[in-house]
Amino acid sequence: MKINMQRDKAILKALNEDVFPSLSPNFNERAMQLIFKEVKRKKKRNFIFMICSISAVSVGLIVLAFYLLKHFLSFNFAVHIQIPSFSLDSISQYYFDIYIAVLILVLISLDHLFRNIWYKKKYEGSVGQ
Amino acid sequence: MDNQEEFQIIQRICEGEINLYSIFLHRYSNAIYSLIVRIVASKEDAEELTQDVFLKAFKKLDTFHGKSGFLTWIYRIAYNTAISATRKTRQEIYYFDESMIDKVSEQHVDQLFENDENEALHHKLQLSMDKLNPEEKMLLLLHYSKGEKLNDIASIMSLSSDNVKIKLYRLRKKLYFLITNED
Repeated sequence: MKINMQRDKAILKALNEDVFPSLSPNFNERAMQLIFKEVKRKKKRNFIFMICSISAVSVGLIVLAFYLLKHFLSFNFAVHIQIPSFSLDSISQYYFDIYIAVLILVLISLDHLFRNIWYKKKYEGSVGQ
Repeated sequence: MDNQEEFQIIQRICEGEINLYSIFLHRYSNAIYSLIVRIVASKEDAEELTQDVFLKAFKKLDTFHGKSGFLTWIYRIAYNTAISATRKTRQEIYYFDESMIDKVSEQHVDQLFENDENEALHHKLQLSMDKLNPEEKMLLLLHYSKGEKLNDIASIMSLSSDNVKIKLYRLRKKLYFLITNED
């Protein structure tokens, strides 16, 4: 049993002369945009997975530490952990702490914003090339 | 661009140079589309499926080991995508008694298909091809239109090379039967 493609001229002609519609002119660009979206989605998924894993491990370690301290080392939490007390003298100190915390949040937000702008410019520039 | 070069580009894409994927899109999108559009017959569906094929290929890019060319590898994804799409939609099924194939003489088949000047035959062939099922159409396209090797077709369609040979052999006879018994 031999299959000789060149011998079947009629089939070759019928298939090769069959006219089919062509792709939309911007098909490749649209497909690339879809690919970039997928990459973004994958990064987001990985980030969420990482955060969940870290949180789960952290909670596990804290629970384990509490369990070990309480059952094996007979640690009394009521005695060793002080309940924070608030007085008028310490309020000015809290204001300063809050100021620092807000400052850090603002700086982190600005960093995030500028990074996003930079990535967007970088991707748009490279797609246009 | 040979297999080795394609494999190197794919490794770079996996390392984060995503823009390089557009090389494959520019090079192969028409080849994939021309295959799918002949199976699903709707321009819009075929374009969407072609996009699907490239997205699936991108997601699986880390599983490409360069044993075959990228085109053969992506043909396999296109084949599976197109066949699944046809299974989801209502297809007109043409009943054909497979035992009739055994009664067709190979010599007659050879003689008929050797002639490419006959316009009536050309028309009948195109009508007969429409009566083939999607797997058969795909086999015909990969072999005759895309010029894929039997080994590659076997890999694309998850068959053995011998099985591909047998299917092609029977397909030629089926086409002959459909043409000669059109009425």
